[in-house]
Amino acid sequence: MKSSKKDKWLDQLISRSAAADKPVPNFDKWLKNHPNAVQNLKTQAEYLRSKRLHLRKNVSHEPLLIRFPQLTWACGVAALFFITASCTVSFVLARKVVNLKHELELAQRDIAVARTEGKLEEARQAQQKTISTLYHRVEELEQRIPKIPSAIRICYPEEPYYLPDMPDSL
Amino acid sequence: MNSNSELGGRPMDIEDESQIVESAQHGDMGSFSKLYENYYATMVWLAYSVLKDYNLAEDAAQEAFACACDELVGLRRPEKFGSWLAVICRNVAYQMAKKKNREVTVNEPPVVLEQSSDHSPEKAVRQAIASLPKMYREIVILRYYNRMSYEQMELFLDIPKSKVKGRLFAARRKIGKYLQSKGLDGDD
Repeated sequence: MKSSKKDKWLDQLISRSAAADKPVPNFDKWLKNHPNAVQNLKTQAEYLRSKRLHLRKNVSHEPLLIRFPQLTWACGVAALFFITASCTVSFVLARKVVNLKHELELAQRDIAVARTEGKLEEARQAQQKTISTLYHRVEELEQRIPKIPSAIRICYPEEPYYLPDMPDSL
Repeated sequence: MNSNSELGGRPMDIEDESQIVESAQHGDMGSFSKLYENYYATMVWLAYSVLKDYNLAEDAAQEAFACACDELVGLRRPEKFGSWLAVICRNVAYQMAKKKNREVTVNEPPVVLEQSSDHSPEKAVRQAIASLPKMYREIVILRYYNRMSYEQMELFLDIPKSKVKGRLFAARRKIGKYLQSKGLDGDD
């Protein structure tokens, strides 16, 4: 007998021997026999429902960052970026400030030197002015000097004006 | 999606079944009754493959549904309801079998199953099935008594289709050998 034919025969034989009445479910009977199981299911379902409600209520009280972890991550990354950028900018600005301070000091020194030089120039000019004025004065005086003897001669008498031998001569 | 079960009731999709399981988890007894009607016959045959006694198998199936009702809220994957129920039913049947064996050994001498003067091939096949290891017996009973397809068995037993086919093939060979030893080889 060929294998396939034998398999078919066996298959048919098993099917024939298994021909039995199908078990008929009776849910009402089961309900009557197992009231505790049904009660348990209902109680557990009720408990689960109340627990879920409680969880949902709690969720609304949670901070936004705990409720949305992705948002928390995004905020964290943004904060980190902001801090890093701030540090970099601060560092660059601090260096610029140092450079500017140095430049300011140099400028102040230059100004001080320039002011001193200006004063010296003024002093020199004033000195020269004074010298030239004095020079003119001296010249004037020198021109006047030869005229004085005649004037003396005109104003003063021939006799001495004061004689020590004669205290009452005045 | 393929039909998951025509297990004694009307065909049911996995998605439909998941929804039904979920509503049963919320305490809807109407949904639970649908699951009961769909799986009752399968549970009876599954328990029968362990107990080899139809009446006890019916009790075991009912007890399995009671256990399932108690634990249903804890089921995390509703799409696996069938295989989860099968595990419960198997455990209940094993417990009942143990209890039964204990009672038999204490009260009365053991009785050989399916023993009769009837020498029909059908009777021999039933004896052959009863003598199979439980792994093969379960699959033969689900296939021939409950008329489940390979796909249904794959989902219900949570094993690959190839394994289902392999086990069924091995079981048939064992039955064939048993019948041959009884002088039945299909030649006549």
